[in-house]
Amino acid sequence: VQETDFSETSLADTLDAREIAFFEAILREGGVISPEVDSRAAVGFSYPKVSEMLGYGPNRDLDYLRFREKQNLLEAHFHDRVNLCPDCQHATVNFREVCPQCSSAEVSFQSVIHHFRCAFVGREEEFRKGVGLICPKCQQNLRSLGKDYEKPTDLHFCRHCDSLFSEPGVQGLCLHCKKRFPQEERVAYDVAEFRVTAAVVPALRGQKWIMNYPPSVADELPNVVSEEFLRVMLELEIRRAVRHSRPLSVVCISLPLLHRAGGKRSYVETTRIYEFAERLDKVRRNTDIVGRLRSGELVFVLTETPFEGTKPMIRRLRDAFAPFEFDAGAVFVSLDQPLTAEEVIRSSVLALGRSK
Amino acid sequence: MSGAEYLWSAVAFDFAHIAFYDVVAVWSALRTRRHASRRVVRAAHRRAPLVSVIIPAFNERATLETTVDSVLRSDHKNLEIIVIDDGSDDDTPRVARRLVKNPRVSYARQRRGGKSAALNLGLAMAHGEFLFQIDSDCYLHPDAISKLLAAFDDPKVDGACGRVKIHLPERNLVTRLQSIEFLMSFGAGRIASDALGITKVISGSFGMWRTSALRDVGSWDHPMGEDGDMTLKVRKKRGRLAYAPHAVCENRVRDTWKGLTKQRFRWNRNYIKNRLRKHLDIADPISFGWSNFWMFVDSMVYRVVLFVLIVIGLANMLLTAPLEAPGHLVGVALLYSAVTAVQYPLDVWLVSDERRKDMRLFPWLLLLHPYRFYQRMLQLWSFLLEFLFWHSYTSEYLPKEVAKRAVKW
Repeated sequence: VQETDFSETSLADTLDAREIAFFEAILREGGVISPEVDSRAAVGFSYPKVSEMLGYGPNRDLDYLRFREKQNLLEAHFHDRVNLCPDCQHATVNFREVCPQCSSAEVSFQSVIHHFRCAFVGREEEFRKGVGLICPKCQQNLRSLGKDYEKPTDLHFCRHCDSLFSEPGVQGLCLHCKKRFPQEERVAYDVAEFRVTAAVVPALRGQKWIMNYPPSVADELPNVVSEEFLRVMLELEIRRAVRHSRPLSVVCISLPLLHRAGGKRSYVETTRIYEFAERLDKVRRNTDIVGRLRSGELVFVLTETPFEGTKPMIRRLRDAFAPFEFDAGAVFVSLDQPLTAEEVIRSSVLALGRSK
Repeated sequence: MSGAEYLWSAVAFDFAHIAFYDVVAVWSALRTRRHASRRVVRAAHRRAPLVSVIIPAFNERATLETTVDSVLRSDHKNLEIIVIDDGSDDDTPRVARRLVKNPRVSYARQRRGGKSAALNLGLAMAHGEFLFQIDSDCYLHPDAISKLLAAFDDPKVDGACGRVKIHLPERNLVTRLQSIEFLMSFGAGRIASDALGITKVISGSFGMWRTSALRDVGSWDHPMGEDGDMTLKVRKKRGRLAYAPHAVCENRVRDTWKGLTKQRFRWNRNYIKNRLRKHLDIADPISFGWSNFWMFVDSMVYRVVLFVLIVIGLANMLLTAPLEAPGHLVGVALLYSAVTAVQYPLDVWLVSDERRKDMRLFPWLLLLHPYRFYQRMLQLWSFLLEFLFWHSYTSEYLPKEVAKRAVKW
């Protein structure tokens, strides 16, 4: 599949009117962009909504979604799995049972006959003479199943090389590039459905949403970093505060909404997360570092802020997130006995529920 | 002739027979050893023909995996292993399905039809130029297949067998005595038979055939004793058979007297069915050649005539001079013990791959003659049952509906 490089196009880091309409439509339908089977697409699936609203046909629709996924606006989730040709990466692959000896597909499933009298075992076809059965070894007539003979098993037979075998091989034939390949060489490709992330909130306002942090350290929420990156930043801030004797506080909040469970989110949950993301963007100061822990808590690193300064911050958060049920806690990083980032994060989580 | 004369002439004939075979075996072994390494290397480097390994299995859950593993470890790599499950009602199918994850192993399950039917299904599925049959309670030494293949350097050879030895012989008295018995039966006698071109049997638990030869003779027949039967069928087609004493396979033999008795009972019955009924015509040198004639005579003399002579001699002696009988019997026993004390080390020297270990069994030779006496009595009983009642057709290894329809010989 030849990928379209959208970074070369006008689609950069803001959404144009067409895309805003597209994302708004997706959000109205639950925030999920689902694929549908489409024989024109290389991977066998296309995204009709994308072609309908943005005009990208099969293949280009996927490139577009992948591009926006890289920019953290979309999140890919498993939808289905298809087999692709190892050469041309098309899903137009036909798997057939083949002879393990000669790879011919001229394979049939046949009964085997055991003649009790002489112990000969062979395919039913070998015994068949007109309408009757005659043993090729002892030339006796086989009359009665169960008395003269039995059919102890069924096996595969290759008409091309006369092989008899129990397990046929499986070979793929690509109907696009004509390549034949053993089943093991097929490329398993996961078809994704895409879900809109909370980063769409600033994006829909026509703002940039990914500038602060590269995707590798960014969280799904706009301008929020991952736990790993939060640790790095906090470690640096602690060192800076200690060296220059500057105050440093940390506030932690916990919302059931952010405790991400696996699987799909409901439409209500999705819209509440977008609402939360919007409020978070408004309430935070542009000097605060905000990160989300894997367990779901949000940690605000308040640089140049003494412990007293956390109280107005918590108040502001309570006002901003009034519709959401949440806990808050704060810690002050002591300059006398400096803690590590790990210890500070742990203390802030332990402080949850203590700050009212 | 008096009873004592019968007895001593049989013993004298037996000793002469043993001595002749020993001389031929030593001559043959010395001659072969000179060429052995060169033959193996030649066979291995010549080309690696495809060998189809057929493993018929009936309720062999415990041992099948070890057997297949041992074949896969063989230094001959061009193998296809075909496991035929003959309608097992234990876990064998599950074990076999695990084994087929290896692409060289294939597996087919059939309704219970007997070992011959299982082998014939294996033959129908085989693609190899050679067909190697091994029982699923055996395991193979890594060089066994290449050493057997070396025997086929001679294009006239259609079948070859190697030496079967007992796995873990030190388990108990039964396994120790069988270990001695197996070593001696795969020793000088078999080497000499091979040198004289009168190999009598290609073992069903460890034998290799040219696949085309098997198809020529029309596959295996019912009932049991298919190995002896197949050997004679191939011999009748003037196929040559070879013995490769240094190709070794270990067998987990019966380790109880009951198991051993049942097994030997089966073997002896099959001997009557194959040699004296079905293939008695092999003694016709015009139709089947002089080597087959001599093989028949040798087999008859050793297994039947000598045995009958000894029985007649003993009976006669007990009737006519009962007081002299114990003296004669002790004399014969001492003489046989002395011969065995020489014969066993000779066989160890000729075929053993673990001479020191095998020689540790030497003291147990004291019990070999009572053991052989027990075997002879068993032989007498099974011969009688087979002669009178076609007992081999009532084996538990053969389903009743098959036994009923199988050709009676």
